Amino acid sequence: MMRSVDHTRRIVIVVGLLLTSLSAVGRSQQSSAADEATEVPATGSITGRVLNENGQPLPNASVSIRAYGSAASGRSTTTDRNGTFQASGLERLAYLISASAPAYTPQPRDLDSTQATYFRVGDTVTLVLFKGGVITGSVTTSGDEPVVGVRVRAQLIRDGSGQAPRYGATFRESATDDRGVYRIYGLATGTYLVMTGNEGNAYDTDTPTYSPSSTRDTAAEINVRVGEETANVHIRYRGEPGYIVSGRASGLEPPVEPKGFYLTLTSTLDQWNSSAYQFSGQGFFFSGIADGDYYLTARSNFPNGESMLSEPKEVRVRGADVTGIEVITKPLGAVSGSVVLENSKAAECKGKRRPLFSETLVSAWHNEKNKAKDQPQFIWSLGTPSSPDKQGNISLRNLWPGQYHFIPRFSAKYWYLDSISLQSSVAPGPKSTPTDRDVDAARHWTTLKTGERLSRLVIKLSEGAASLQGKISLLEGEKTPARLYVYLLPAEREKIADVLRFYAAPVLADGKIRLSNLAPGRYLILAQPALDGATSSLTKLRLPDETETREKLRRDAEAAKTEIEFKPCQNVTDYQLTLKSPLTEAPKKIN
Amino acid sequence: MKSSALQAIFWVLLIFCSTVQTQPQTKPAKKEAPCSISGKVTIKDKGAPGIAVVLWPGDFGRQRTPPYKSTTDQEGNYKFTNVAPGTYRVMPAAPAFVNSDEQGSKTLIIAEGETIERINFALVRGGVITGKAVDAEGLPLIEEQIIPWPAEANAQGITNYVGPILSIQTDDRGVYRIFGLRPGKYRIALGQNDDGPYLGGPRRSQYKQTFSPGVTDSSKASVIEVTEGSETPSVDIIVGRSLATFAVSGRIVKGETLKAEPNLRLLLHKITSNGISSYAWAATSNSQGEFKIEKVTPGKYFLSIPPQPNSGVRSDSLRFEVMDQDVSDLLVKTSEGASVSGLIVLEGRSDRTAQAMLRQVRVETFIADAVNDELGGGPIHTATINSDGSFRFSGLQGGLANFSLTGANRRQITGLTLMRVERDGVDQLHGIEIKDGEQVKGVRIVVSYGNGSIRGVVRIENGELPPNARFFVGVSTPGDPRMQRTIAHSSEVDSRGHFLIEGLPAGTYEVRATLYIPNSRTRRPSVTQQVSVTDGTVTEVSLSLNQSPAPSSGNP
Repeated sequence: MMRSVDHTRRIVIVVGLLLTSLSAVGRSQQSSAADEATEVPATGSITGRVLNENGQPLPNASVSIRAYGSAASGRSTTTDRNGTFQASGLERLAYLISASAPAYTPQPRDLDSTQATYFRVGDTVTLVLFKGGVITGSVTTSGDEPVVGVRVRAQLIRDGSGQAPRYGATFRESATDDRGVYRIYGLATGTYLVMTGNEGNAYDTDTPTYSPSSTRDTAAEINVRVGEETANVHIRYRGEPGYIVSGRASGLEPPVEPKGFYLTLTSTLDQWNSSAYQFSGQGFFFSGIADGDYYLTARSNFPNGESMLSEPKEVRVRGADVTGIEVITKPLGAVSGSVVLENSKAAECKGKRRPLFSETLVSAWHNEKNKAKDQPQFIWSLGTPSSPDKQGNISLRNLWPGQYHFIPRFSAKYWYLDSISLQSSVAPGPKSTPTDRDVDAARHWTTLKTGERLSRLVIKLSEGAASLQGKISLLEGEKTPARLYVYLLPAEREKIADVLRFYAAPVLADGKIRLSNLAPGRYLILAQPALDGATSSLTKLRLPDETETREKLRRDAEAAKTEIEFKPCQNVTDYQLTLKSPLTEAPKKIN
Repeated sequence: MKSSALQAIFWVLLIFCSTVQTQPQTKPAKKEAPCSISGKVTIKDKGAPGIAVVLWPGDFGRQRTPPYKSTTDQEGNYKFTNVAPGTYRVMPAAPAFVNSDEQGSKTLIIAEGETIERINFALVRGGVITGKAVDAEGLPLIEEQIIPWPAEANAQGITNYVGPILSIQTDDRGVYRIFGLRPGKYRIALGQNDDGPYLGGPRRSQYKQTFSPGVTDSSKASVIEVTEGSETPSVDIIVGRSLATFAVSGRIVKGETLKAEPNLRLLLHKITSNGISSYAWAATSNSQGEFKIEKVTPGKYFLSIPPQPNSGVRSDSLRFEVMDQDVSDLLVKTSEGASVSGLIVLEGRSDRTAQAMLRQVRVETFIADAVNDELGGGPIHTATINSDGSFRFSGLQGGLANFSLTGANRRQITGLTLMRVERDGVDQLHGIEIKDGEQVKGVRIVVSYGNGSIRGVVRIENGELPPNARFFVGVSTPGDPRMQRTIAHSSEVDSRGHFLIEGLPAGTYEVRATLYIPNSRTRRPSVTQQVSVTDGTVTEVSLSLNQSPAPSSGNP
């Protein structure tokens, strides 16, 4: 058995150097100085840079800094000549930061990236934008006359890694000029459908014509890469009048009278959608709708941030208008509870910084496997992450019925995510230690019915987290295989089924490994290729229904027989992990 | 002589009016018989085939049904049949063309069973100007707004921007293409105009207004002559250094205690040389009351706090100037504003329908004072009405408060009419005078419900009107002969002089039509007529207007 445990507590400052090799530098949880500090100023700054695909600074890019679950709506700033930006006077909240510049598209999220997905005061952020791809062509009538002022839409159907967009249709548009020429730019790498009609003044009542001159079923798929131009994507305009889909939306016992309803008609085929607005007390209509199957949804929003949504209603358009549709919006589901903090009694953990509730974010993730792919996908985007209040109370709202698990994100080096449970309502107040009657909401999906409001979700963060730094032992001249990960699996018998005791992190190009916020205890450690899938390896590893993945990993780890133990608040450094068996090829990643 | 002729017209009108009143041509308002609209689209006096003509229902942006569409035949004729009565806009959908009479679309207020003919459009192929916008290093300027400024006054003396329908921006290569330009002379510009209204938004230009080929002085700009169907390529614009910008920061504090005011939204307005202010930027104070607005170009500004829902907080406008450095330590002091509270009451019909209508309405007030007048208008405060009919405005500044009714989202409401505003039982004809910090109670807003309509037509007695002439039609109560308080007005008078005023309570009214010719210095001629309205019916009237500037008798 190999053990390499460094008992000396050392402050690691090389972190900054390590991170510069990455394209994006995120919240560095190892910034030890901050983690030892006890005094926290009320506000601070976030600084950063925006770079282009060649690593050159991008001046005059817009940077949006948004906080979830806060009254302050966030702010935006722009980069200077050196591509840098600074936002000062920021409250201590969890921020989502994004950059945009005309004709540019965000760098696709790398599944193996170690960059934080949110930031906090004091962080330095590097954001990368790529010059987007271009689709250009012309729209003409059957008589070769230009079609002027019609909107042309490029709808993404598969991204660079072959995945359909998570939340339904994403598209960019442009209008034709007096020659019928259009030019859509700033496109991300992927496969697109190019269509016109249905929108743009005189064309509202026409069905969409897809490039080259077809209805949806025979539409051409156009491949685009960032920085490249796909020309001659011409459309011969069909000008076929479409049908009307109309009706009336109303709310079921609304808490307050909604100002109006947002209606979305979504194709079951490819998430193509058209939207309409209905003022309170009136009706709605869509025009220029082609034969096909659709789902109609109505949504109403309230000033308190809650939404009501109607059940997606099937609409079949077959050669005639569909009128008199009634849709009723209903309250969405919610899960509420609290985040509890448990201090460690270990001497090593004395004087460590606690996580701030305001800098903590909790997201509810739905079970991707269980959802109907033909239904509108935007409904899953209504539930946004939320931060606990000063007392740690949390409320996750606007959740569509389905199966959920919960991902808390927090910032404090010596703390770890201990448990997520749905507690039985026997004892008053949340208990920090789950009992047998409580449900392990990390290991099991939480099923939410229509409009259901579950309470007593308890997320327990505990003090005493350890960290691990080290290196993979490679033979002379050998390179780190692509997409290699290091995994930690709980070795203690009573922890075997605890999905939160599973950890994964990518092995960096120079063979370095780094894991943090680890629960103290004994683990099996091994290096293996990334887990295949559309989510990061850590997310997949912890999914409730990935029991088989975890079991397979355990068999391999037991064969490798390498164990490691972490004491509370221990920082293990200079750890050497030897690769024992030849590695299998990692799943390919397309970007 | 003119006066006597007018007197004759007046008497004719009165007689006509009395016939209206003795034999009211009233019809049930709901029954709808289909109508038809037809006309011809010509290019160079020849019928233009294959042009789509679109008939949009409703007022701008309030469309409830899809548009009707017709395509011109070989002779250029189009026709819409089976059109439901209502208000429409009709226009040829030909963005590369311009209408020779300056109006892109025509409004039609259509009564049931009407057959409307000869709604004609004469089109002229517009010109094209294209070019590229680059910076001093030759890099393209992407998504930069390009504006064609008329280089000489048009027939009506207007030199305002009259652009194409589509918004013109440079693309990812810095290339722009303006089409559908009315023949004339133009200067092509991009960037921020010191006196222009546009300067806000995160994507505002970072360049000083620069004309082709690359000058900031408009007198040195290239003048591009556009003729029918012409195309002028390579009208490039090279900009210089980007504008110097500065940060503006400070704190919002309570005026009395100087304690921080967190989470308050601030609006930044620019004061231009024309005295017009425009909303430019917003910031929110943090927990320490601090705010910071970045990238502000030199100029005169003021900061204001917009009306806060459910809060009495207000502040006076804080003025400052940005010269050549950051402006810091601005102190915006808040105070508890004045308030107005009271009841909204129904007069006349007060059945369930009227009560339901009352629940949808909101009250608005606008306060005129010297500062607001100078800065081009202050904020509009909105109050919702509680179930017992009470309302309350808070956070008001002192001044003269005028009230009006509005629907949710500031939509126009039809059916409820504000008759008068009373304070201590006295009608406040000119609005309520509020002192700074005063708490005004017991205000009664008297409203009336009804769904009577006045449908009418305004005719011109002598001569032709210029194409940009417009009519306004308003309604007041007969007890208010000088029309100091118009209780309702027609949203539009269509291209044929037709108008429709809906949602009036039963009663007798004065209808006044006023002729307005933009940039004309002559007095605005008008005509009035007394009309009786019954609930649920349409009363038809006909007004004749003499466009000569001589005073018309009976209407001082």
